[in-house]
Amino acid sequence: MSVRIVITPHFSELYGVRESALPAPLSGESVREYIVRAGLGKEEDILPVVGGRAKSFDYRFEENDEVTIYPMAASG
Amino acid sequence: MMSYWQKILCIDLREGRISVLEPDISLFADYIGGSGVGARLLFDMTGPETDPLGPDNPLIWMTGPFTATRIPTSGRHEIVSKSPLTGIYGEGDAGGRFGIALKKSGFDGIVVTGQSKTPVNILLIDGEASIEPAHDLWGKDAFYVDGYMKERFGKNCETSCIGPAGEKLVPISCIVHDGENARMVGRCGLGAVMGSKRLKCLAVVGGKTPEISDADGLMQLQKKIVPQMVEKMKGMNLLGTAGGAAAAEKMGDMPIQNWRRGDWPQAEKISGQQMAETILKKNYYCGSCPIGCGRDVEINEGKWAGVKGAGPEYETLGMLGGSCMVEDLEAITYAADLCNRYGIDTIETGSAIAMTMECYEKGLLSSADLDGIEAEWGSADAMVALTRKICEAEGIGRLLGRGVAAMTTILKDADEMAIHVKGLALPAHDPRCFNTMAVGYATSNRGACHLAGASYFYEKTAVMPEYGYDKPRPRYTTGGEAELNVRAQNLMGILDSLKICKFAIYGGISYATISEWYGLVTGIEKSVDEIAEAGERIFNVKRMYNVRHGVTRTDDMLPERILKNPRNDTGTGNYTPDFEPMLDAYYKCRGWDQNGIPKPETLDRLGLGDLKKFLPQ
Repeated sequence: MSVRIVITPHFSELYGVRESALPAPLSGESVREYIVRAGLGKEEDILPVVGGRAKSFDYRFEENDEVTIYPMAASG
Repeated sequence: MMSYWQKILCIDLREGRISVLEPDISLFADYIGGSGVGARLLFDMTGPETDPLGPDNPLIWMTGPFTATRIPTSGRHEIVSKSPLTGIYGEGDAGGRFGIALKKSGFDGIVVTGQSKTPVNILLIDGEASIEPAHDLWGKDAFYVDGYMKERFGKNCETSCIGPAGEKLVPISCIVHDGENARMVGRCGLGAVMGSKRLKCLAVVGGKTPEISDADGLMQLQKKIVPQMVEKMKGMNLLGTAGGAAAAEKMGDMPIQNWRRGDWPQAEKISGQQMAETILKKNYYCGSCPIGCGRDVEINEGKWAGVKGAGPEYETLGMLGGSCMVEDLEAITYAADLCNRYGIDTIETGSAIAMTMECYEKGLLSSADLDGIEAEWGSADAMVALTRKICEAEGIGRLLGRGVAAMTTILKDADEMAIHVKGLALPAHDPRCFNTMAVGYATSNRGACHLAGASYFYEKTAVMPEYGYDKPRPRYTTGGEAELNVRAQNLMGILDSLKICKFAIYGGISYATISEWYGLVTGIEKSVDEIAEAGERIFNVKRMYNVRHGVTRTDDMLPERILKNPRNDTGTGNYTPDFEPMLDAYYKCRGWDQNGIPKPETLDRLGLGDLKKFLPQ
């Protein structure tokens, strides 16, 4: 039982982040806390998605979550 | 050239005359369609003497060669006219379904001139045009009008109409499409042009599909491209444009307190994430769009109950929210809904209200001046009440509805608070955050427009590999702002002419894909450079329109607040754009002189030699 992180190819291409180099998120940890711990980048560049839904940075991971990280584009 | 009908419907409301213009194919070859063809028609039909609200100002609806072809995000159309808000070139683009219906009616566009003595609708049903009285619709809101026409002509009937604000010639009024889904031609006050013609609604049902050159080839390309677009634009799908609100505040992009402040963490309360967790019901998809960035929201209880339809876009949140410091998402949604129903530009509305709040703070306006409204920063009640005043053109709303530049003619000592370029309010992107936007806003042909160049896309996640932008440009890179703007403005002009959504750029679309699509659709090969040159031609014809109206370097300016007052926030620190060198470089890159006038050789190179006679002597 764990939380899994997935980095999309587009995010990886833009910010040079490799999925294999990241620590796994912890159950109960917030997205904001994880971003800092993993050195994932700036919040303004990150769109975290769990179960097909965008999550706020205050969201706390739950067991079996798969967190996918997309880049956050500038708004139109 | 396939995909064009080569027919433009012309309707003169003075005499109720309906005719068909069949332009030479060179008009479409040179100016592509949409914005480009509209701009050239406007140039040829009007001049400095044309009153924007007079009978001689045409209102031009145009589709492009991609409209109704199933190219992703191509459900769009353009409306072009001389702007009553700015007095110069005016245009607006909208998604939704109207553009597809218009193209399927068998025309590339419609030009309406003259003024009817009484309110009318234009019906274009299966290719047959007619004019009918609109007394029963005059005074009704835009959602009602769309529903009424759909009830009469079926669900495939699409409308382009005005609300009560356009009827009252409010200079910041819009043209509304798709009823409660509210796809707006929002800027430049084109709703007032439609109102001046006493044209309430253009209702279209179309069933003809334009023939394209290589349907199989296009399908094969779509199979490859659409999944990539969907993957790259996941954020737009999940959160819409509102998804970037919190990020914009963190970066220092969102205007706060009429562009005076930075750091406003309350932005998270009005973000796309907040919307998704509260009032969002489902996505809205424009025609031919696989992304679905539109928000369909409902508010059924509480103080702001009664909203059902389009949710606020980022620009609305930035202007009615951040710039007014209102952190109540439901109140902003309610105000946006009023604007959608009445047909009012939310960017201009937010800018006018933020300026009013600053005037109130500084004692230039009292609650007595504001019809009893206490315009405190952050007051949702005041923001909604002022929005309603603007929509109804009532009391103080008559002044605010003229836009921030005109407000300074009454409000002495308020010049520094009116944040605009050429009379068009800045949308919610700060050049102190994305420095390429400085010269982009200054040189946009319709005034301060974030989408005329959208160079900030390329400072975040977008790329343009055909011209060496393999990776996004890091913010605050010094140098190269001019070149990027020219490339991006030319590209945006092309997208506005083909009629394809600019957000497709986030999906990886750039010059090369467009060149390929263009060949498959029209059967005419245009290289990347030829496409870019067409974009340059389109940009220059609009510039020449403005030059003819006296626009020069002195008009290509940013508000002093943007140039001299740093935000001093986490996202931007103390940065302000070093503007003049950027503008010098831009003019050089464009082939314009240092006063911002296209050089004769530039016009010759672009095949615009016939416009040289309009150069200042």
